[in-house]
Amino acid sequence: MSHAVEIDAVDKTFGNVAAVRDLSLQVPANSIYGFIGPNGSGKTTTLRMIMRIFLPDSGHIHVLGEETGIAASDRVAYLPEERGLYKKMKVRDVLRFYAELKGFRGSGPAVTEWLEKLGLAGWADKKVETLSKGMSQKVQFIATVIARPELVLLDEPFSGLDPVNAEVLRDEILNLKKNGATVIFSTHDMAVAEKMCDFIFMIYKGRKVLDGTLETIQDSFGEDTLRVRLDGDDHDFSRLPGVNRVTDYGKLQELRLDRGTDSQLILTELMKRGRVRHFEQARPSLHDIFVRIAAPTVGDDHA
Amino acid sequence: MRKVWVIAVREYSVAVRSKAFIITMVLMPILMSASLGMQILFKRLEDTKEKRYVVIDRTGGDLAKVLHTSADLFNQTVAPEPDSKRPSAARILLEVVPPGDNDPESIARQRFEQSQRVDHDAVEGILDIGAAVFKMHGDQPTTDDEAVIRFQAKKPNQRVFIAWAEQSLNAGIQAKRFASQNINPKLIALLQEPVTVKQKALTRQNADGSYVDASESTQIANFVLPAVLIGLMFMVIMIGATPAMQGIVEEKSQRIAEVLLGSVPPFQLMAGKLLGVIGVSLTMASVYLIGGYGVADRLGVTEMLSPALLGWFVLFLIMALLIFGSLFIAIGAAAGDIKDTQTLLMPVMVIACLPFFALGPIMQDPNGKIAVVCSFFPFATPMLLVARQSVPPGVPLWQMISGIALVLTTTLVCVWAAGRIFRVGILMQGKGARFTDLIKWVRRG
Repeated sequence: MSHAVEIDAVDKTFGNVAAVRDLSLQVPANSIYGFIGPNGSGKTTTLRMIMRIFLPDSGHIHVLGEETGIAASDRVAYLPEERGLYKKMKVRDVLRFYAELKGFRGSGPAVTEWLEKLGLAGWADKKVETLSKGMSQKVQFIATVIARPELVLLDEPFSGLDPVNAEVLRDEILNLKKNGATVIFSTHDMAVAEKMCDFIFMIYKGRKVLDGTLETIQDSFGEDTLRVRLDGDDHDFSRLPGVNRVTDYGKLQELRLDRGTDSQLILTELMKRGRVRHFEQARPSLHDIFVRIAAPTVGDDHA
Repeated sequence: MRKVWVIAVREYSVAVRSKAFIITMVLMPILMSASLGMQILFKRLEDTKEKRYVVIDRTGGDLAKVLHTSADLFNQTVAPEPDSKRPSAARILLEVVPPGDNDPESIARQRFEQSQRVDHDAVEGILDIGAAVFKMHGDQPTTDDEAVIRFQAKKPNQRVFIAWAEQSLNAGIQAKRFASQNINPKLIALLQEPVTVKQKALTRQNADGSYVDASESTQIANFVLPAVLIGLMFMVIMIGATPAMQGIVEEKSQRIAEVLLGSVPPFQLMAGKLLGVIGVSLTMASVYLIGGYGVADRLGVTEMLSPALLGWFVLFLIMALLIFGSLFIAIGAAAGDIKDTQTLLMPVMVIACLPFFALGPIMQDPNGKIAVVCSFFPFATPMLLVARQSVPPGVPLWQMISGIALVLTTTLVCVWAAGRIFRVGILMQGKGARFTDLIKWVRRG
């Protein structure tokens, strides 16, 4: 399988802050790759290095087989996190401008088609400044993908979208893949990453901590999670032997087991305390894995 | 190169459609004519009431009579019909006061009494003609009170009256001196009749061999036209380049820049913007030039605006736009926000104004050393060359060509540097750039 992006032993430092350390990553062509990690961990820096807006201090980055220092490319498109459009321009004009900048001539019909597809047809001749946040986000998405780039980089494409619009966007991202593009996006929504991504990459404090399919990532943690529900309230499971962490979801408790703990023993213990309504042994969720890695330092940054 | 064009088209259409552009376009001529109107208005508001002056003639009264005659003449010319029409200057009213005793004490007392009247605004000033003004001093001029005409007043601005009094009295004094020597003053006036120096441009030879004498109006043109052309240049540059500069700041603060950089190399991005600036400014310049031609046509001075000169003007306007546009764009790239642009703009404005400071000496000798040296300071080149070109015989071709080459090179450097500053500056939002930073960014890219 050829790679759309190959990152090889890359370091990037700003002043004396190491933003990315010794990062290697291969993004297979025609895949959806999810970047996760707490704020400030290096996701955006990595995306910008792939865009070649930043150049790495050391190491190599090949994008679509090329290694250059020039950001401009008609084959790669980027949706920045703090997105921006010309406020005073009309939606249609902005989209045609971005399309032409990517070398896509005669973009008129495509613009109309996209606006209809994303439910913005009535806004084509309105100024950007009149759009709501969600609408301008969709416009920005169209601007990113209208010229049919081979590699699409999306920084937090779902943030701030309502569920309906998030669904629309999800379908369009999946369509991009169907049409042969490679998509890399960063997200704080673990459920989205779990469901949409072929591969998941987690970066934490500038270092790669997870990389692979959801399966392989979860497998590496083993089936160490029990989800249980007992009749009655006020159960304290934290004292149970072999349980090192309890997450209380109210109606459901999630117990993380020490390595080598026999789940049957736990079940026996639970049955002593009350009627067991639900008992499930599972691999940890991506959310749980994220929190396990980042919990000690993440304060205000729950996904 | 197509992307340069795409950028330029957007810049142009956004700028030309902006309210600011339309307003300045309309407002500028209005403001200009308004300032002219203000000058006329202020002129009209000048105090033209009758002004009363005390005359103390210590020579016996002849000079007071001379003054009276002259005052009548003055009043007739400046304010012929005081009741029906506004006089163009204050009418002069004279009040002759006989001199007192001729001892220092009495003279001083009389001067004090009259000064009191000035203080109480009864009279405007005191003209005190010394007793010995007819005496000729030859090699030993004196400023004794006896030998001069004193003028005392409270208000400082008595320029018109003093000049009038000096001229009238001297004429009277000279007439008396001539008479005392039995000389006919009219003859003297004839003998002293001055001969004028007429300034003309150089004589040219037509293709058919005949010689062409330059018209006299070119002299005014030589002085006014360069200033007008430079002013016009300056104006359209400011109007054309400012939105581009602000646009770049917007792109940076709205994070449009990252998307742009992902599509266009920074040099092409900046070049496109520059092209847009030129388009906007030329649009404005052509409107003003057509308007200016209309005015010149009405005044019958269209021959000043020869097609060749207009050609040079447009060429050097483009040069000036290139060089200042690229500088403005670099400022936009370096600034963190609109306020930053003001700080960074200062030195650029000083540079832009240099040609105005040097214009005087340069126009005195349009092909002299100062002119040539200043013309090769790239930011002044376009304006100075067009100013010098507007005066015969014009600028030597080699200077024109090397000037253009210099401007083009500087522009390329500026655009390139702007691109690099933009590329680095884009990622450092909120942090104002110092000049040392800028130089570092340019070098590292």
